[in-house]
Amino acid sequence: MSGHVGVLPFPAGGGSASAAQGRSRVQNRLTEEAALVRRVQSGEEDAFRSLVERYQNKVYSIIYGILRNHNDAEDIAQQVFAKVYFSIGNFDLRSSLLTWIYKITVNECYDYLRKRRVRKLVYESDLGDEEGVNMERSEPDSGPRIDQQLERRDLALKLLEKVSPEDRQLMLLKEVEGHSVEELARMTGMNENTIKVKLFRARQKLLKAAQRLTHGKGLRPVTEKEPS
Amino acid sequence: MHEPLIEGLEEYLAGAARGARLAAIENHLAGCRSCRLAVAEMRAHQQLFQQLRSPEECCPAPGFYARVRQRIEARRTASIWSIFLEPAFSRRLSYASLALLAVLSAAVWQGSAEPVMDQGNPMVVFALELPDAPGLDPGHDRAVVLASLVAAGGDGDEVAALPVSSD
Repeated sequence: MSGHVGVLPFPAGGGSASAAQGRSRVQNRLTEEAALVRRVQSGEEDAFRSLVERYQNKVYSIIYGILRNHNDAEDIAQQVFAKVYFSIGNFDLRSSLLTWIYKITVNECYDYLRKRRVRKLVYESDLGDEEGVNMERSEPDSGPRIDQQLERRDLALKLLEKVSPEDRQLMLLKEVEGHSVEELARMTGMNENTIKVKLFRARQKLLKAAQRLTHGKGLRPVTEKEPS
Repeated sequence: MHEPLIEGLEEYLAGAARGARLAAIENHLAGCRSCRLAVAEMRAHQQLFQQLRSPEECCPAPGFYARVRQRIEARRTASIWSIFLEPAFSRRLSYASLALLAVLSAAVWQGSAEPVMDQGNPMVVFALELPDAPGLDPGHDRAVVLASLVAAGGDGDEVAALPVSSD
């Protein structure tokens, strides 16, 4: 899970001693997190400020990763924290706070994408501002590469749109944030087998969705033909 | 997808499968074309989702908290009518309206089905005091029916118009 930007800070598993140490750190973090949540729920302004300051970079990075536009990321990040403020009374600490915020963030991104699609903007204006600038500035040789990246990102978003919000969140936490099954179990409050089953089902749905989106071609590199 | 792969799929995709499990999966993949294709496709999805990873350390511009507070205040002071634009609220409101409509319709229907009995009308009192019509004595039953009709109708005009036999 390490090695890339924006990974949620979770202790890595390992040997029994480090696992125990990890568990104890998780416990401390959860207790601290629970205390923060309780303070926010009781209306403490400073606690909410701490919460925002603690998670703002993470939330912003998640949104930017999906939308690749700083203006949109700022706007949606504000929206996410406003939602957190108004709904934290319903948060029951069954999952980690970050998992809950992550869910709100991803849902807001997808709401935004849906509204943008409804507004029927043309593909070019659908691209992020930064991407547009990059495309204009790019060398002729790099043009197709950027185009390809945009296409792949668009496909990734479309694919994830075909599964339920819960499956989408799990896939993003697993594949984008790089969490292990064990970490996901801790974060969501589910057991590891449940996580495995959910991930398996989500992957199956994604296979079907990819077949539909690519008209049966799939996304894998063509090394052998599909059985007829 | 088959059993050996379902068991250890996540470990295998994450490159964390080891020992006997890894050997079992690889053996199965070597002989099962459909599983091999499915795993290749899943790996392609993994690579695809990497596109959604933020390429750089991002943070909002300074003053972010103040802007969040502004947004919260703006939402708080938003018009009361704006809650009707909230999809969840408007859905609940529609359900509640439909339920209320159903209850009111049922009440109206039931109210119109039952005749209003005017206790001041002597025929009503007479009808109420009559025993039930068990169907044993036609004369008695006719009297009960007529009295009930008069009581329900208010005045006796409709009774005169009824085709009643004279026996």
